[in-house]
Amino acid sequence: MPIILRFYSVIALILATLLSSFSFAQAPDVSPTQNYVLELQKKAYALDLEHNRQWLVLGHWRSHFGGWLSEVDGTDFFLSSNGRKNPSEELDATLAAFAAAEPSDDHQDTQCRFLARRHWLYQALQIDVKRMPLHACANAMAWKQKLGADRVTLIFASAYLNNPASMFGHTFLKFHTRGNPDDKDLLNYGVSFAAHTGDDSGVPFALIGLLGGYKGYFSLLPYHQTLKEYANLEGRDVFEYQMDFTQDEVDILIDHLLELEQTYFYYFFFDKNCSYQLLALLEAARPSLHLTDRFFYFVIPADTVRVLTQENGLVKKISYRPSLTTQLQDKASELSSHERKLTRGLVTDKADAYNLGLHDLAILPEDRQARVLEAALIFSEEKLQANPPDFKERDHALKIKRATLGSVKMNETPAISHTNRQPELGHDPSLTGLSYGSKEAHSFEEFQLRAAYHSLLSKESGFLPGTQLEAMRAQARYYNDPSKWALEQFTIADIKSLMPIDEFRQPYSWRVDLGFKHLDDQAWDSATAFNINGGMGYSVEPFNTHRLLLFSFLGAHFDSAPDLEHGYRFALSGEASALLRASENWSGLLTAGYRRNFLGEVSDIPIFSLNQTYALSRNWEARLSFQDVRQKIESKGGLFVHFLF
Amino acid sequence: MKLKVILAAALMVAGAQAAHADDAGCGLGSLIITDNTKLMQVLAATTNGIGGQTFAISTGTSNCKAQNFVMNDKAIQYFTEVNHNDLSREMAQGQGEKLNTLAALYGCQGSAQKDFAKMTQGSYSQIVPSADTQATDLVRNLNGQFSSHPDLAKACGAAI
Repeated sequence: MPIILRFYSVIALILATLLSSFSFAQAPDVSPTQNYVLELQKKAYALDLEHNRQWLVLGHWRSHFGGWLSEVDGTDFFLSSNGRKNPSEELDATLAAFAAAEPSDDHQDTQCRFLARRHWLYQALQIDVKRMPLHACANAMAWKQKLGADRVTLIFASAYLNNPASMFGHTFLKFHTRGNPDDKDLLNYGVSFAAHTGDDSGVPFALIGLLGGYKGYFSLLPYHQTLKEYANLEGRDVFEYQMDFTQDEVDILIDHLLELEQTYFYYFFFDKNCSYQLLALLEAARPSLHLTDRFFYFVIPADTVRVLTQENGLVKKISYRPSLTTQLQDKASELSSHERKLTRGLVTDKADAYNLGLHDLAILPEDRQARVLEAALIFSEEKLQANPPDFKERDHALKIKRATLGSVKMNETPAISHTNRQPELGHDPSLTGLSYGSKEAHSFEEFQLRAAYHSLLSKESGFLPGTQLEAMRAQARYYNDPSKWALEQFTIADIKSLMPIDEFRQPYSWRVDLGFKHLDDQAWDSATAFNINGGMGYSVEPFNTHRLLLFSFLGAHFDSAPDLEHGYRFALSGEASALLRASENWSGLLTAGYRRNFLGEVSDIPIFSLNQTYALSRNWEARLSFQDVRQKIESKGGLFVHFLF
Repeated sequence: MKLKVILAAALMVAGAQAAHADDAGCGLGSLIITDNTKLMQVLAATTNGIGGQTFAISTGTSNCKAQNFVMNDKAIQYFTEVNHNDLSREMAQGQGEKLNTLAALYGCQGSAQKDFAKMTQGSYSQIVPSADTQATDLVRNLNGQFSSHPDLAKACGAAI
């Protein structure tokens, strides 16, 4: 197909040239430049350049029902009207456009608009610059000179505290700029791919975003400004992955970025998102990388980081920047319980208590005073962001107080390592597994398949501790005697957030899940019910250790099933749980609760359950569970593996 | 000799002040939070966690930027406006990455950055006299401090 098209386009070009020469009846022949373009087009065809990986990544073409389709949605990105679907015609059109005379304004110059294409085509076709001159592109060159990039770093901004839904994180690029004052990292520039959402917010925002209704653009911001947004305002830890790119590769990446700068992609939150487009950029710089191919349906930023780190030698260096929230946690962990209370009081107490606090502070040794004040200033910064009028005077007073202490010699405690938070350490997002068990003495085999992402008891490395986000989880059971297939569960979403309260924050813990499942208190062969549950409560880590997390919820439950007397029931519940992280690989969860249905049916359901998960490797885990719900006893054990879908 | 130093320092300070004479600032204001309610934050982050921006950055940075780059003579102003609170905190503490970066923007290198931090801690109440000190005031006060610290002005100016 492309061969024929290619043939036609050559014929068409010859015809067009002939026609134009007829109509003007001036030159008997095509111009030397046009001749050269024809020659280059033939050469490109002979070399099969239109299917060269470099050309395909520069045009973002993907195979599409036997043909090609580019993921770039802006039509101005293509020089041929058919270019989005036809890499070959686009290549011809590009060569023809590059041969055009140099316009006075290089913003109008196709060569300058497509620097990465130019760079590659001139090399691949060994284009003679005497016959097809290179244009100066003063503006673009000045811009590149100004950026002066010699290194590229992929930045991962991790999850939001107390919001498992954001545990996917966000990625962007940082360019190391030659010639920054004293080579300060904060003065580098970051490039982010983001949706231009205008003033939309709330539900329309979410829907339009999911359906790809926003246009995504690349944008350039000083790195300190981007960090401010993520690490300070949103409380996200930031991880940096320096790419092992040559100067040539960095240049191509920037050239390609400039090509994309003026166009757009439709932004899809799930797949054609920031992380996907950054991977495509990295591929343009080094076509031998196959990064985007590894994703089909969801592109989760943390997964893209994992894919990068799995490429041999691609990541040269990993560094970490703690968020403001993490800095406060780290500083607070060095304080005694008395000092932590003092710290909180200095920021939030009213005048009288505050003055008492100052008195308590003054009797501490100077280095302890400094520590308390520095922790207080971070806490105050967080308060200030939420509510400036109420906290700015106090914040100012505390800063004066700290400055007055002057330089204080503090015993440097070693920086707390948070390397286990690095996203690439986490397990893959999808899960499948086989279990064997029995319910009410009926044995069964159970097959589970889950699209995403992390369950509470799975290994925590690389994930936000105390969170669960499971989406699209199906469990099918085969009962052996009597033999029967049953859909045990189909869960649409099952989210938990267990953020312990401490001196500085008292977040709610919460959980919500909805889907279809067997009701635990009903007979083993009862019908599947639609059900939706929610709960709210608090969590604590009582002995100041991460090993034990206690939490309790008040919950509401709605079930709808044909087996129920009125077809539905509604309950309120209370429950208490203990999550024991016995080791890095072994977690156990003990829950006791009581649920009372009072609409649809009136019944009391005592609940007891014990779940354990043991991680055998990054992706493999064994699970063992027991539950007793109104004397309906179920126990099962199984083997599970995470994978990239 | 002494005269020379004073003259050099005076020139340096004048230079520094000329470079940062435009105290009108960048009009950057602060980073504003568009979605204030808890629900909106959750909702925004649910869809946004995979990219995009929950927080909008107020427009008006154009005074200090050209072709998306921060203009050289506005670098101090711009940096200070974005990192106003962090900078004042690090000044009070007498150390920090942002403070060192600001020092570097003033031309201080190596041990001069430590001296810069020491100076901003020591003169904190002159640089940030009140809770309402704006970023533009902070820069103006900081520039003023160089005239009372000629050695530092010299050390940093020499590196420019």
